[in-house]
Amino acid sequence: MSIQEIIKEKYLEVLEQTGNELLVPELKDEVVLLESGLDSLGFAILVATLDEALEFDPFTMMDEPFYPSTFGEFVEIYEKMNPNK
Amino acid sequence: MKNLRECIELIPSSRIAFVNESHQYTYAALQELQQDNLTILKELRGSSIVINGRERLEFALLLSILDSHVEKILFLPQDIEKDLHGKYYQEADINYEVYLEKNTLKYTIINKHNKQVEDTTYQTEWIIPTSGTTNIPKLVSHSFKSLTKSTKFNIALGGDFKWGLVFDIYRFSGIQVFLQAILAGSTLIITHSTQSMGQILTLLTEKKCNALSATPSFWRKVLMTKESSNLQIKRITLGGEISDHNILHALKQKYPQAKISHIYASTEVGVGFSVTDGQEGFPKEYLDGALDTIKMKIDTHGLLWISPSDKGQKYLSHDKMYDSDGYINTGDLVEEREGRVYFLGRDSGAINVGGNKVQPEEVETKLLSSGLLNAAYVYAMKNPMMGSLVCADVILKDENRDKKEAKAQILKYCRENLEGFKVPAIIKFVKELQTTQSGKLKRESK
Repeated sequence: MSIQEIIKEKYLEVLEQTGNELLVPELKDEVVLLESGLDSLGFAILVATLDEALEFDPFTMMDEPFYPSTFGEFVEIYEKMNPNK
Repeated sequence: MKNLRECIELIPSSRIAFVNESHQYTYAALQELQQDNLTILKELRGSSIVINGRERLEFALLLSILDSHVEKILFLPQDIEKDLHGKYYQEADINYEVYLEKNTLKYTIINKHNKQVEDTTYQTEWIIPTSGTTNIPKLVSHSFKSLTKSTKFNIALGGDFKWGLVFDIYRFSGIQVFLQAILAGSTLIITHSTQSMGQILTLLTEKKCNALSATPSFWRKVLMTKESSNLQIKRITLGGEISDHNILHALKQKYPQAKISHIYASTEVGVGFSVTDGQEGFPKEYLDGALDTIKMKIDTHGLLWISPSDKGQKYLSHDKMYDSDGYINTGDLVEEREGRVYFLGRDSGAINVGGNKVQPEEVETKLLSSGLLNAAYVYAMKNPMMGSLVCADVILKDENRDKKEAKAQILKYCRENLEGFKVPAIIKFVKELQTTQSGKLKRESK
């Protein structure tokens, strides 16, 4: 599975776990994160869940803080910071 | 009774006082042990001594013969960091370290004492370290009187009881079991801290243990073993952690003949009270002065404060223990609901999830009430966005279950019964949970 596919899968899992619903028809690159259905706690859980699955957390590895606004940017950070690539 | 020696002399001498897997001592043997070591006891008279990490049986023997001969006895458990020994020796003004070698009392000099010694019986101070779950353990000085004020004993009845010691004898909880047994002339079955649950239960069964005091975490582990069915228990006591409805109910089902009580106690307060109605929490009447030995109040933060009627106990470091009204801050958060007071958890243990406080104990209780789990441990995991996230290590009742399905079911239950920020963000399935020497769940943040 590609990183994007893993993120998508975990995203939907956490959405369900936190009792939220996807507010957009499909999770595409241009979807704005804060409008997608996941709240800030949900994002924190997503990052922790991905840390378990991928064994890295790009947000703690970054020198400069960067906050992704779209789903595409979120995935890109994981792809860019992947230490195993 | 003023001291242990007087108490031991009253017990029918053929009764067994202490037993472990290879040794046993009758009450007569305890008196003989004292007689045989009188010369050394005289040398130690009036001094301050330490028992440093010796085996539990050896500790029980040392305490039995040294009480009323020395001024202070410092209890130093094995799990106390070596770096702290010097500080504690200084605070307690320790002269000698004592131990037994083949029933002969021996000592090494730490700081030779040259105090004026009287040829009288001493009201020995028992110096007990707090459990120090979240910080450095503090030394609390107790007297025989402050320790035994609420111990009920009946020597005639005591002959029927064999208490299992699974708590650490160096700590307040273990000392309570020790005193409970010895004051009534019962038998104390002494386990080792290194024994597995299977070994402990085999020893307790073999020695016909019928009374056992332990933490809820310990009891949960007991119920997960096959050996638990062999125990013929008449009396069950829970303490040291919150006793929730699930564990009380499970014990009642497993041991229908047993009298079950949960106790509220701490090293500072001593024994606060015990609850025998089989329900979690305690009746609100306790707050309104229904108890003889203590008074209680809840402050505006929901913290429980207790004022013991006997204030013999104090911190050796001279830190303040009481407020101006004589109350001790227990550090335990409580909540009053419908005529009952419930424990929420330790004030110092709260997890901060994006500014919202979560008591791990509340989440643990909720997880257990799902009926799917044998045990649960909730802790904080650092998170860059929220500060911390709630994590749970859990033991499934049915370990062959599909984990994904179980997780979904647990989370669904939590979502329906807890506020969103309290629902565990991460759930891990584990085979066992670590406990401390005192049998409490080992708490640390990751």
